[in-house]
Amino acid sequence: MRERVNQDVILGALALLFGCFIALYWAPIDSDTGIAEKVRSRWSIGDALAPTVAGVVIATSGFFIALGGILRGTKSTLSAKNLTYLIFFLVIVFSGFLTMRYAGPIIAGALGEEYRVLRDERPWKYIGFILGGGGMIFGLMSLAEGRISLRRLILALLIAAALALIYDLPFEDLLLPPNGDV
Amino acid sequence: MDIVQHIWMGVLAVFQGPPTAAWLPIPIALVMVAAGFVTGVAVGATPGLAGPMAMAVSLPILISVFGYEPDALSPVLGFLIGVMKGATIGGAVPAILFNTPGTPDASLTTFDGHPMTKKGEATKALRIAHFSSVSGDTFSDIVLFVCAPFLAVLVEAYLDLPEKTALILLSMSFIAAVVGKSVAKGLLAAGLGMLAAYVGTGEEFYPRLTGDVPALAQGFPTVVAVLGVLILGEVFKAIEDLMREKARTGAIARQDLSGGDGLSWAEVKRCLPFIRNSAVIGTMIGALPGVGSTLAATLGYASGRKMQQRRGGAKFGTGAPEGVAATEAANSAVSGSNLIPVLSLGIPGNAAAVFLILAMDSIGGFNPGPAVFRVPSDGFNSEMIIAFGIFTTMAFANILNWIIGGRIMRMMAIVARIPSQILLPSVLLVTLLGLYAQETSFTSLWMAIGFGVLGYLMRKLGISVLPFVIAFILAGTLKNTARQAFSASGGDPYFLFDSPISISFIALTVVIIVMTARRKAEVA
Repeated sequence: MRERVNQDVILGALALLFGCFIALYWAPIDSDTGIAEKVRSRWSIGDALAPTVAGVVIATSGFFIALGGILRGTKSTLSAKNLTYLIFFLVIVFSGFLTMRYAGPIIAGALGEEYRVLRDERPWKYIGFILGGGGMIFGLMSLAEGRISLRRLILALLIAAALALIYDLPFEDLLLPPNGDV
Repeated sequence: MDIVQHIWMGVLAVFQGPPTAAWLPIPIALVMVAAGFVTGVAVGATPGLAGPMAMAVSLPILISVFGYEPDALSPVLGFLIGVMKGATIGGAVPAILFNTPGTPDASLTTFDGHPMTKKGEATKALRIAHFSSVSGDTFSDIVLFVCAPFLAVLVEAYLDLPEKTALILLSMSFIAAVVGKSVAKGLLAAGLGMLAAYVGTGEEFYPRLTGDVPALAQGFPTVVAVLGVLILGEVFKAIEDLMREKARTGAIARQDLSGGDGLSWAEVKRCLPFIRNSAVIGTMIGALPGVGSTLAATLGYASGRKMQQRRGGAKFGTGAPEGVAATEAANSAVSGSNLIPVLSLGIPGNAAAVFLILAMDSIGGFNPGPAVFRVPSDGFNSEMIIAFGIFTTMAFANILNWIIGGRIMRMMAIVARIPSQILLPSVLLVTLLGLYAQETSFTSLWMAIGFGVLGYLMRKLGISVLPFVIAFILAGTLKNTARQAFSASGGDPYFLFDSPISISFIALTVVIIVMTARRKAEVA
């Protein structure tokens, strides 16, 4: 039985359009030199050739994906449920990143300190990573299990703390996030 | 210096290398191989994890620790080779004990391995898996040691710039065509990989395809793109699978370990023809870029089943030790010969090879390819010494595998019981941490997540990620070789059709794409 939405036709059409867009518009306009150029009476390959070739490969494969979809039909493997999951996943990861990046400076600021000065000192250098990373692990564990529990939160924070120590104690030169950015 | 002296120097570079520490006067390369091997077995034994994942996570840390000097190559590659070897045997542990294949190729091990566990022969199954796996791996390594230098010498002697350009095109098309269920989708992945690699990497002052975004001016770091698509994409999907499993069954599966039994010499002897047969199949399959261990395991198992029918032993699929032997010897025999295209041509054939090339590329001082095995008329070729050092670490990892691999493998049964819902988010954080250790910028983490989303969507749409990764890595070499060939030909746009060899490669590229597309269309 054919599906109502032919996923490969949509994928193929998008790839065809994207490939044409790269080859005909993006690569020529966003490169310094064209397909080929003459420098001191010698021809050489320009910067636009390689992305144009990539665009042609993408467009051609898109055409054949769409053609295959029309001739054989396809079974959808990407659903609205997958996209909803992806949004939840990204929200958790982005929240973790934001916590990782700003928890240390916010806590230091609240105590009247400047994080940049403290970022090489314990426990300051661990704060962002443990809260952000631990929060990310906790969020993803909860997403997988479909429930929230205090035990999992503690476990997630312990895992993040253990990772911070494993990386930080033996390797002096390694920086934990976000200490290379602040 | 002749080739024998280069070999000897390579061996000495490993065994007389710098000591690990003042209190541990063992060469660091050997310690790193052993550490990588144990890590690899543990990772392979953990369902949901695989060797390339551990290689991906450890690579940035190793580089941060050992630095970018050529001296770092030996310990870094030693660790990665250890992981690669260890993961090969570790993958059989959950397949046999819990009926949970950690990797796709281990799924065939479950057919006979898990029924053996149910019959109370878990230890016997693990012993057979180990013996077969190490035998296949050792055979494959010997073929690598012999073939890679000869192939490289042939390539260097007969292939000029246009032929090399055509060969890279052939390899990329071959990988795109044979991996996955659809040739067109494989080519789409390769096209996307090339496109991503060409962002910000042109010859001119203005960084192309960046839209004037400063963060893209240097292009996407290879490690970020590869880890994002290959590892983060897989973690995204695996966590969703767990979530769906919980919603469907109300729980995430965990299985119990049952008893064990020893392995007699008579049983080993009975398995030997199956191991021999599968080792040859796996080695031949492994030498082809992109054709992974799953196909080798499938062909090894199918061939073993026919052999068993002729011999009249226990039927495959009912707990036949020969079934475990046929599968494990075949999928392990891939790991050595898969490095033939890496060392002789500079073309990675699978995900593990990608990380070895990434390490070589990041550290510098060693450019895998035909020039590696060029014997100089005067002095020595340092790259050839490094190559023979790599062979030495592989041989050492094999010896380690023969001596202690089986014991470590059985010990790792406990690791296989760590719940995936704890493990996978932790892997995500470790990967991000490793990336940050190398790039020290949040921008690279955002980029990695972006590539992870791409990897997830590709998986959901049935597009294999391996052609993307291989194309991303080879795109730079393709561009440079083509540029030089074009200039050397005096600006001839038909430079790829100037010699019979490059015409053959281009014709072969078209034939492979058309034939594979037709065969896959018939199967579908």
